[in-house]
Amino acid sequence: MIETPTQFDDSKPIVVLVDDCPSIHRLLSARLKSEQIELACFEDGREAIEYAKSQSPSLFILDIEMPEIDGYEMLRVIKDESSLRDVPIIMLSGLSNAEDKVAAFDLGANDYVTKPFDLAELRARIRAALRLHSMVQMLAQRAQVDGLTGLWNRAYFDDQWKAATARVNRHGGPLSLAMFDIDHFKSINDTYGHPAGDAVLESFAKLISRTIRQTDLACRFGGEEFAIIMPETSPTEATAVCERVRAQLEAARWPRHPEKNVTVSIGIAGSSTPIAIQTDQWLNQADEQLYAAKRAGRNRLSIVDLADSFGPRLADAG
Amino acid sequence: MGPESQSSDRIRSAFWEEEDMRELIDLFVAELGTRIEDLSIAWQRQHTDQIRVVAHQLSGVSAGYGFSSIGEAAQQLEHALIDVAPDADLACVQSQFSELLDLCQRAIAGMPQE
Repeated sequence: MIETPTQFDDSKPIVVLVDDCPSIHRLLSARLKSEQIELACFEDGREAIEYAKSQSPSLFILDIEMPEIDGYEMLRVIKDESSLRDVPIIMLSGLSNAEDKVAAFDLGANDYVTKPFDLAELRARIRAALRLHSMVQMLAQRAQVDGLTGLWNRAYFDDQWKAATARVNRHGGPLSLAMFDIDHFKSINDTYGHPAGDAVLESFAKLISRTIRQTDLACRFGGEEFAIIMPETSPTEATAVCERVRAQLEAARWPRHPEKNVTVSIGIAGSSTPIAIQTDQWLNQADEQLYAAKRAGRNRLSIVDLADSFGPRLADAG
Repeated sequence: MGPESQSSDRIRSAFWEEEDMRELIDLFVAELGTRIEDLSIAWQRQHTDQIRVVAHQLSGVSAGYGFSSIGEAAQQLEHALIDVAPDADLACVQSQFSELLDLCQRAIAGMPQE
């Protein structure tokens, strides 16, 4: 699961280099230092694949002639692995005949650089491959990202919420859902105009993205409503994160309307233990807490621990 | 970057004037000693594949450390070995082999003495 749309991801792209010659590792680590990348070097292809599965790299650079698993086999493994299939691959090889290049391209390589290589050219090709990867990711995400705020959209939320509750039903563990609604949003639009309202939504989205943990997933639920799925998080832990968001929004100053601050009401429904509840019911519970926070005067949180109101899941009831 | 500087008994990396490359060049040249040993042992035992692996690695990486002459000599040896059967006498690649060893030794001699 991708937790953050790419526009909020400012980490350096990971480039996985697989070459059985350590001198190449040292050389490229030094010569690519000025590029905005994190280079991970491996002599063994299998280790590289295991690493890549957990680290979502943006590019592979593969030698062909290697003792254990050669570059062609690496290409096959990468293309068979759904999480790595779209990662571009540059072959960096001493083999310079056309057959080797054709074989590599046919197996899915995006580029081919022969050794000895020109460093400036290799850098340019790496940058081009990273641009390609970034664009492919952006296109894939566009259908799932909210155009104004850059957060995940409602359709993506629905999928991920279903998946999150299914995971908890299967494996147990805590899960919390937080719903946010910006207070008196209509009056901001009516008083200061829609650009001011949009600026509030955009800034709030950035504030959420900055504040949540890497494992949390933030979405624009619709209008001025937002949701955060918080896996492995008890209602108490979720409250601490959401309170930070609430307090920071309250403290924010707005260039378009410095005289009026903006606040948010928050409803949290979570559980530390597996419970007998449907996906939609859980969502409704968070929604009810949101409206409880509104009724209680806004700019506050209302929390329910679902373990108190819903029994344990039958399978776990003993 | 200047050209690789050569004399009859010494070679110095084309990147030697780049401060941040010196440590890497030092390490690369230090490893050339090991590679010479590997090549010599493989030659004595007539292990074509082992010679080819070392030549292949040197041909790919040497220019990156500023030793393009070593890279070219390694490539010539690697190419010459393509036509040599695994159990054939290696005398037919003697000149390419000697040239590579000589260049590696001159690179080692070209390093400043402590």
